[in-house]
Amino acid sequence: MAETPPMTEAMYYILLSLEQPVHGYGMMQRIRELSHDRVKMGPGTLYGVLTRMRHDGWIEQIEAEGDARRKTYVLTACGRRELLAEYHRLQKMVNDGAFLEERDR
Amino acid sequence: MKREKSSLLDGLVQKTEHLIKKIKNTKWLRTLPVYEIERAEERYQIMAENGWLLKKQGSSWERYERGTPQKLRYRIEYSQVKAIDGIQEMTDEQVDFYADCGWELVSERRGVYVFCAPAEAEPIELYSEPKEQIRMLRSVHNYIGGIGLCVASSLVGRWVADIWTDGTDFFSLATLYAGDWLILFSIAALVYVVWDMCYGYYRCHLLVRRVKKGKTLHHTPEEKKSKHLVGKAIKSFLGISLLITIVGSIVLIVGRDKEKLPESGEGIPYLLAGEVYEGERTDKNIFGRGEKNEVTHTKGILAEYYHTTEYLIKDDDFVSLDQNLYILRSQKRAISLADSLLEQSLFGSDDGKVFEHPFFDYVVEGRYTMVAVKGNMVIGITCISSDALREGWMTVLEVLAKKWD
Repeated sequence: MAETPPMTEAMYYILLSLEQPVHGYGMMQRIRELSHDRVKMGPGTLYGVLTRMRHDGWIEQIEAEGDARRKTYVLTACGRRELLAEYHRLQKMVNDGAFLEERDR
Repeated sequence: MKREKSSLLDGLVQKTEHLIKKIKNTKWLRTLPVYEIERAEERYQIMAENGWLLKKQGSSWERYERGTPQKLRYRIEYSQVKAIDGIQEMTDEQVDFYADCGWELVSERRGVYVFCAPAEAEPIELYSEPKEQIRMLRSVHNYIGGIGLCVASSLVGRWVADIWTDGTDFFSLATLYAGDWLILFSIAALVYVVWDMCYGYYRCHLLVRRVKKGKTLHHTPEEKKSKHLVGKAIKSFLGISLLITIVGSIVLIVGRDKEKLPESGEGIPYLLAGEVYEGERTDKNIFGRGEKNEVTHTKGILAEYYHTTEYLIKDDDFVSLDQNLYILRSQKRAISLADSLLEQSLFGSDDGKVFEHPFFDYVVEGRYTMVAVKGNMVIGITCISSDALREGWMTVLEVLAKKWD
């Protein structure tokens, strides 16, 4: 099976923000919180990534309670696996470069 | 009664005032091409600052309505275009999603969407990642490329096929018929369309390349610098040429030399029904068409052309004669034009019978139409009469032979 290529920053933060079901605008706010105001994702970027992730089966769409028009997104089991894999990959990368900080001290 | 008239008049005045007000509060501008994203966004912003708000965008014109001058930001978004599926319209969900983020949909037309947000609210840009914006721009690229390829290949293919096969079919007949202006028009239209598509494709390619390098689109007027002056100048020149040829074609068609048929057939290259058949000219014709005993004369690059319609009546007998005479500049295409005339004739047939005549180079007959060629002269005659046709055609040919000898 081919290995999944590394995620873009947008993909990673979108999956992170979907720990709980959330709608589009809420997702943008959540991403800002998670990234401490560093990542301000545009709706065009967000929507494009969401469409592809939904197609890949990483996330799914559910109707929000009381508002049929507004769609809420949730992480699927597959999406969670991919997120964890990416997290471990990033963590490993950080650990591999940890000596840089020690050298600077 | 007087009161009724007065209220009717009041209503009319009110409606007129309303219409005048509407016209005064509406402005129309030419829609910019799809690849002029930055210029279009800048235009909407400036117009809004001057109190003209974009209301509707068509493929050729966009409508603005007078409103409160305000600082607005406009962004253009394109829906996905795929070569096989065509344009995929933006979903309501995406539109609602953008609205949640402060971007309201102002106008939409086949795959092109204009969103707007108050500048003070400092809305988040639609695209924070160039990679995603490339996808959107590529869809414009595909759109222009797909249309361009279809149009250009069909036009160029049509011309190449015509030249290679040396065929004179309906297209060639049309150019012969309408004369020089229509030929110029077709050439100008072809060059304009092909250039417009190539230029649009190139401009889109530049945008994609820029965003690929990580540079964002220039959304603010201060950042924008006008380039591509040569390309724009060529496009304007071609556009003006096209406009002139359109006007020329219309003038030619409207002002075509149309005259009543002469009484005598002497000194004219075409045939009069009276030279072959007996009877009086009549304005009543069995087809109910508007043409009545008239001759149209056009001089073109490829040919000098005469078209006549004539109707004779004698007792209960009726003769209708419709004639196309081409005096070609070159006799190279005469035979193929003759065959084409027979095929195109409503009363002709595809499999005409060729018969020999000592004077003519080529004579072919099919149902009610006969076509004859002598040198560079090609004549197609459709005659509906109660007389035996073959004998009638022989008389026609004899008269024509005397005229053209």
